[in-house]
Amino acid sequence: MSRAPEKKVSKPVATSGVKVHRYFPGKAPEGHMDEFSESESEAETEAKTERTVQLAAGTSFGASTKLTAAAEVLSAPTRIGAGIGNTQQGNEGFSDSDAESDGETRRLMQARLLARQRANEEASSDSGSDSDSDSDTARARLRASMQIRKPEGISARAGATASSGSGSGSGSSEESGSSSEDDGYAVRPMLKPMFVPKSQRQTQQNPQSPQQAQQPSRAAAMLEDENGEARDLGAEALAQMKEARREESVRMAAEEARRAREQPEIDNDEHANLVDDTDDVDPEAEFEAWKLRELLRIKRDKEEGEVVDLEEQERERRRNMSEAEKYAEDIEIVRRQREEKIERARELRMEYLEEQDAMRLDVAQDNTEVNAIMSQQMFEYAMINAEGCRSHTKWKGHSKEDTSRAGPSLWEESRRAAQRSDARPGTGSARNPRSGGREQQRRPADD
Amino acid sequence: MANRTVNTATTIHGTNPQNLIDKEYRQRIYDSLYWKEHCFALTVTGVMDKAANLTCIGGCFGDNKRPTEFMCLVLKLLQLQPDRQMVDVLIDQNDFKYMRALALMYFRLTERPVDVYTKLELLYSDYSKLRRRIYDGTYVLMHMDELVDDLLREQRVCSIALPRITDRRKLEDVGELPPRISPLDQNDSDSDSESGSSSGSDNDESGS
Repeated sequence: MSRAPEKKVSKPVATSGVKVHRYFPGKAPEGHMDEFSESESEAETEAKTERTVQLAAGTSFGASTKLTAAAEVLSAPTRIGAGIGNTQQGNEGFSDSDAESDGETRRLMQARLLARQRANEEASSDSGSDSDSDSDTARARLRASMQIRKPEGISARAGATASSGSGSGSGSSEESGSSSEDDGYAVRPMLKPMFVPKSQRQTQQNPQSPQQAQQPSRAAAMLEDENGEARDLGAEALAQMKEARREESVRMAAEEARRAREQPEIDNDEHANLVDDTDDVDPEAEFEAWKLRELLRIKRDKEEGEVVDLEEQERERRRNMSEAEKYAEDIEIVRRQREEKIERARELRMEYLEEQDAMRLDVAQDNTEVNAIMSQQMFEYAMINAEGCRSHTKWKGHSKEDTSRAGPSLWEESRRAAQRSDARPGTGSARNPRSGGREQQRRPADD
Repeated sequence: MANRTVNTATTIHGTNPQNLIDKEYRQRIYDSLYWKEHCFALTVTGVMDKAANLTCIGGCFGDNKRPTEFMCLVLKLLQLQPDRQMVDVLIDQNDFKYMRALALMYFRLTERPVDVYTKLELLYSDYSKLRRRIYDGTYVLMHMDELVDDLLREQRVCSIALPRITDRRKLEDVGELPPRISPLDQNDSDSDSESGSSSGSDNDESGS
């Protein structure tokens, strides 16, 4: 084939142009190619591992999300509805980029809440406005790393201050993925957990730069700061960092628990809330309602009792009658039933005929001459030819199919001749089956 | 292992107490999330805690026939088979109405007819509101006395087929039960003097 196959241009549909992010094993997720293309800066990887660590810690002691949520529900005597998982743990970054508007807006709102609270804390607790002073805290690291990665977001997130500047609102940017919380509040960025190849992983236990992973020596605890300086951290500094992180995670967990307890009971079950089951809203009304129910119950019980009593009486009476009396009574009952049935059938038939007559009269009384005649004929036609109920047919029988006497015949003479011959019995032919009928047979002389 | 009746249990109505709930609904309960998450390895005390957190009564609802938490706890009680004293405590307490409803259901399922009538009819005078989840998942308001009425007269309450109990009338005829005196009649006979006594005594036959 010399020519390339022609490309089909498909008709645009509602979902044209929608990019679906799918997961293919072994392939980096879309939008993060820039992070893997060049060698990552130390700060980024460090920040990433810290983020993963924090996320793990944030979901309280490594237990699974749902169970801990349940545990918190149990410990706190509140009736939180089914959405407990959503309110607490749903925004911890494990989101899929496929869920577009709904999940994002919800996460946005929750993140805003969280951020506001955290930011209030931050503002109250540490007055320092520069991130470098908090270089030990993981949050500062994250913030700093975010600054590096997205310089345009710096204005939105001014250091440690909880300034609610105008958000960049980059929720739709591919790069941030689901970290759509660039909305101006000082937010701890929640990023989608991205796959870090083993060669580039940097765990808590053995902190070393990715480049040094190939080296077998682990004694060199080299950590590079965000600023690019290589700091030689001794064991104590490392321990300090760990301690700081641990404290941070414990603090966050405690805060989550406190917030869960103090949060207003968002009963996500709106249907249930429509039906209010609080007692003593209106004691008199409730008492009256109960009284009514109770009276109705008493009445019902009494009536049932009466029915049973009547039956018992009847049985008693019958037991004391003789056979002849019973027979007479039964005959009477059956006879009455049959009569009633016949009477009912008669009534129905009368109703039907009266209805027919009424309709006919109604039609005939139409003043317009033409209409009257036409309606009359149409009525008769409808009566003859229309089908009514399911089992009815137009077939009226052979005698009705006889068209010989249907109307004035063209051959009047032959008809008259046939009439004369009809008067004599036994002159019936196939053409005139009606001839020699009973009425014709009876001659005046015979009466 | 998780779904066996407790070892010390006796048969109820000639069968494993769990069989009082139909196989279909029982399986739905076993498969439900609430059962697996909350009702595993629960004791009677645990059931009490859960019952204190109930928000509705009801059977299985929705297309999936999802069981309510109430129903799961009923099955749990059937598994555990608490003794009579415990059930009485659950019924007689005044703080948690859903716990009371739960214990009433259990009582109705497991006890003899005479005891059922004696115990349940006391609660005809409890008119606290209950939320009931009906077949399509929506909620309906009902009252405790209506629940008691259903338990005594209906054949199926909250997706559970109730064991047959003898007609109250027959028990009265035999003499095991006195005719039912409604609290309203009692009030009438106490308070009104002119027609009270006559109506009170004549209405003794009001019980069915």
